[in-house]
Amino acid sequence: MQRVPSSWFRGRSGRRFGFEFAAIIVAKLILLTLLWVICIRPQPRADTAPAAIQQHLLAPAAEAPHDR
Amino acid sequence: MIDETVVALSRLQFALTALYHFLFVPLTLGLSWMLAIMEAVYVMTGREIWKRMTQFWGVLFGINFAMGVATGVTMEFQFGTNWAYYSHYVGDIFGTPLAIEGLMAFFLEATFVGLFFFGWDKLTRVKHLIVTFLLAIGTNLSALWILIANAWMQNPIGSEFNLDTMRMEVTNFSEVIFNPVAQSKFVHTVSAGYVLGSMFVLSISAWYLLRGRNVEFAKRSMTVAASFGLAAALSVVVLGDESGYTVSENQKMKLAGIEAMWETEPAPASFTLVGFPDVAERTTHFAIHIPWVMGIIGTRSLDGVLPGIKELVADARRRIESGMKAYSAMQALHANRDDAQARNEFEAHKQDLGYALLLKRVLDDPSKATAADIQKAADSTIPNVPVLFWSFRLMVGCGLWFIALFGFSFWLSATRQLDRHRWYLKAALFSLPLPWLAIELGWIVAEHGRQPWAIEGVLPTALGVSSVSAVQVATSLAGFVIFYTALAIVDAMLMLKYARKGPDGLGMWPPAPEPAHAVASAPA
Repeated sequence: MQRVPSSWFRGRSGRRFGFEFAAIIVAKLILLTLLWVICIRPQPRADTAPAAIQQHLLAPAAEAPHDR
Repeated sequence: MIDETVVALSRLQFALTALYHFLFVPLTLGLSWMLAIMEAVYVMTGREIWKRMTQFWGVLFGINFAMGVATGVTMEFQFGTNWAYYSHYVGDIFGTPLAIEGLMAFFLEATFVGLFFFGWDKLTRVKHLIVTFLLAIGTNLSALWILIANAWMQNPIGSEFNLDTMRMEVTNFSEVIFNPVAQSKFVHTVSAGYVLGSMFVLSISAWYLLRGRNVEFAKRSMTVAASFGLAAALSVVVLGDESGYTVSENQKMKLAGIEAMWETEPAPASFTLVGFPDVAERTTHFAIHIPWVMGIIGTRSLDGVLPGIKELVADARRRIESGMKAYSAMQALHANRDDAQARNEFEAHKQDLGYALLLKRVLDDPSKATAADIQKAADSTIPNVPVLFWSFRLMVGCGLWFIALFGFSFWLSATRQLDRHRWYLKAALFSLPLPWLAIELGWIVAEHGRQPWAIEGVLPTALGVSSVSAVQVATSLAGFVIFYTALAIVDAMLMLKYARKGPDGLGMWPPAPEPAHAVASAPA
């Protein structure tokens, strides 16, 4: 009588899929980190203290302050 | 003056990332329930083919999950970089559902994804089925929380503006959670995801039947897809109607834009089937109207009046004038916090403060606006009517096609004729991109239709943008485009690779006999 392996994921194709699944996630985390370091981190951080927000709403947006 | 280039680039960046992220999300929503259904049949019948179906479609679900997970994180990057004022202004309300969504998505969902793939040999059939159901529930709960956050942007209830902290703050969190827009949006959105999941299974299975491969596997998959897809497609229409009704309650301009309804019609208003909206002339050329339909859909009555765009612009003008009083009072309070008269004036008109902020796109100091400035700001409340008009009609057209296709598939499945008509199989195959198209159009209607508001009636989009330069936004936009393009290419290649291989190519079905010694040593 034919016996079916209990899980496809434990076979050769399944293990390869598991490797690709994990590799995609690791690669994405690395890419996202790079994206953060290159594109996001260098940007100025807006000052969102209440006084600064009031100034932002009461003054032209282009003149609103940064804290660094 | 506000830098319109920065506003446009920031909007483009957010729209691109959101639309890209939502290529993956609805497939996860839909496929997770398809897996639960297939595995439930396996547990009930004990037939191996249903287990292998769960595992095969689970592989495609896994690729989609791996490619889609964390693509939404870049939107949260943008809240900090491009939308810092928005984040401060509404963070007290918006932050909580986002945080819960993060917990749901990254902890609950990720845990059950792991158990789904690696628990087949560790868990009993019933326990694994419970894991699959929890996976489906987890993915849907993530969507619930993000849609609660989004619905608050469309209908900002349960909150008010605090002059001391200069931001919107929660006054009633249960109102935020049970926002009627959130409820209708959630069921409409997840149903659209179920349609996409069903179409994905139906189309790929149709391709196998066209090739004469995996016939039994494909027929069973199509039966599940046809049944689930028909129920979901009908639900999308019914729940979309509910969603439309909530729009008529709190976003009258969006509804008028979708319908290109320039004038207020006597009740019940007609529905414009097709036509060519002309923004400059404020009319719709060659319009074909269906009497009564819009009034009945929008107000659920025969005497409810739906205001037209021109009337809504006049109303916006009145609210801008009221908001200017709140703005002037805020300026007075900025100079003297103890000015009681200014505080009373502010409290009396603060519900229209957002409308005065619309003037900041026209001039620097809204309190000095002329009649022409006010009219210009009021005119800016009109969204892009042709885009809304056609996006909505294309979406509805797709929805009607899905009902027809799934209905016919259901009939073919019931009469065991799924592999009889090649034209039907080709139609099912080529319908694969349509649910994605319909879903993206739905988001364009929802979000583009909200413009010029980030938070309806409270915060204009242009005021939520950070004080960054266009070069800075363009740099991060370029980074995101490169990142997402690379992901899209890898995703398409992997999906095609595994779908082409199919259950037979992956060694899933038919099951290969194990070596004799393995059978001999296997436990009884």
